[in-house]
Amino acid sequence: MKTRTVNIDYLSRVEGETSLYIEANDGKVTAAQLQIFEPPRFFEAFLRGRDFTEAPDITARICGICPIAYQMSATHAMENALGVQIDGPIRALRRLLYCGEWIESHALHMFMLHAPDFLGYKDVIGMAADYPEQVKQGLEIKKAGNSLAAFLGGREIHPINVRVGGFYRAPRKRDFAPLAEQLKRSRDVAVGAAQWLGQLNFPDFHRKYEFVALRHDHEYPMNEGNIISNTGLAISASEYEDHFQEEHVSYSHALQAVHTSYGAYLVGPLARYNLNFDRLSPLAQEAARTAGLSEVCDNPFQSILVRCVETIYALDEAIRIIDSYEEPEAPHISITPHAGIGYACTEAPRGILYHKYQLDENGAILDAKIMPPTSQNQKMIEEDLRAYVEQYIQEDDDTLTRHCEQSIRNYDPCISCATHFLQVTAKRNTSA
Amino acid sequence: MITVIGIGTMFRGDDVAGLAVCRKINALARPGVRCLEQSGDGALLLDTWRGADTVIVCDAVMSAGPPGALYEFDAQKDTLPEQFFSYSTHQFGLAESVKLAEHLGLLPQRLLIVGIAGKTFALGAPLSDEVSAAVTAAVARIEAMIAAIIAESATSDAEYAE
Repeated sequence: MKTRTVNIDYLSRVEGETSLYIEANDGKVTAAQLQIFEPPRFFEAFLRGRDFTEAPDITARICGICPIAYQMSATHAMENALGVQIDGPIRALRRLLYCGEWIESHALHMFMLHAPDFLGYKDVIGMAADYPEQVKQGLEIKKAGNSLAAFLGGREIHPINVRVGGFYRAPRKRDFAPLAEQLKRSRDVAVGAAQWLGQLNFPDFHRKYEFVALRHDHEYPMNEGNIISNTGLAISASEYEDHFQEEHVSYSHALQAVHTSYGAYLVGPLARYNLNFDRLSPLAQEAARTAGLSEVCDNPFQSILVRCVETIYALDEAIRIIDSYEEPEAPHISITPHAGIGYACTEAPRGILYHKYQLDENGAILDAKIMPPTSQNQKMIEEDLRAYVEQYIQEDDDTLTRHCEQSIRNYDPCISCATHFLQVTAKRNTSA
Repeated sequence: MITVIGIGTMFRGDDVAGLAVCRKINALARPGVRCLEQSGDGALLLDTWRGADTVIVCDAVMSAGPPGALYEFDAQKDTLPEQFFSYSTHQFGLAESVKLAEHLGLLPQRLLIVGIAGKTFALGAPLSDEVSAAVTAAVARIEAMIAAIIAESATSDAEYAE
């Protein structure tokens, strides 16, 4: 038996640090392990004893790419614990802020991190020499997302304007005008980008996934909705832990989530798109078709197209919210703490982000649980690798590493969140 | 207009050096000089550089040199060592931004970079004594750069007037 192992020490163009171990026996992949060596970060323990008002700002520090997702899940979970429902302009502003994060996160991944894979470049710097206009487009779209996050959140990274019950300060309607113009320009750019991205060459690789995402009565999901799947799951956030469990694997510092009795599942853009195509705006649906997507997409490499469609949607939705915005009487509501347990799931750019908090009678946090999207996708990333890289297992280490990295980057993984990337080790065993 | 950009974070020891330098130069309130504090995010740097005349960037660097050592680069002439300006595995930082700006035609007319070798970048660590002293030296060096650029500009203006 001939054994081949490939080690990738650090995976590039992902958030955080991990290595990958691949082992093949007689050309058959027998192991694909994401060995996440970033140390555990103990955020759930940090939260114990802190006041309920502190959770949005503490948990935002888990990630510099998706801090708004953490703020949103934390505020919704706290309000759920304290029996508060936010509606009207404050609810609209939260959705608007989330649009900003989706735009900046997706634009960064599509143009700077993922597109170079399809065009044969080591990184975006090499790509920029031959595709300067496309890189400039990516920067312009990302800037619009950054501007939106900074306008509403106070700053681009780790916004400081979000609080349980609403915002510290609500914007004046008249102040939105320059931002709205910037978003409209970026929407046009993103629509053009969908055409360009649709012309990339995608591997003919399809998987039968269990997609898990939120589903809302009439919106493409961001802050609210039931958790559903294409296997018939339909639950509230409070039932999440009855269906999903975290497991420890010996080779990784990050816990891996499984759907009990089903196994690996997929969250993120592909899951949202497949379960919510009918909730996209007409412009986003049209862009999907222009890019060559149907209403169902089971090719993980085409997630770059789905991110573009979601970016167009987020720009479209942000413009709609700004157009219809009415200033709230107060930027937040006052909340009196009491004992309780609260649950929330919101749609981070990379998928559903689950928070649960138990509070004492004064609002101090007794217990916290956070399940980020990359933890939930880890098992599926490994399953994709097993299925995809076998065809390349006889290739040289550089080629094999490139295919492994591209497959992992389909997920835009955030290892920092999951530990809360890539050293590849490939071991090839051959019996001859 | 001369733009001085200080890069860093106040939460990681000597990584605050660029911000400290920027604040000291800003306190001098020189006319024709604007000072910006940034995280080092490449997209924001590129946006700031777009159409700028002269930009001076100051950042802490990871180098094999002694803590507090100063390094100077002219982006039009020198190649920046990427490991000096490590920013993130996900985002792109100063060295990558310079290369990207070259390809995209977004480099300022003049981009000068002053690096300060850090001693520790540990979370919550204070500014080290060596880098604290280097901040003063870097301020003096950037002040000299600004003075030279202003003098050069005055000379060329006078020649143009003749």
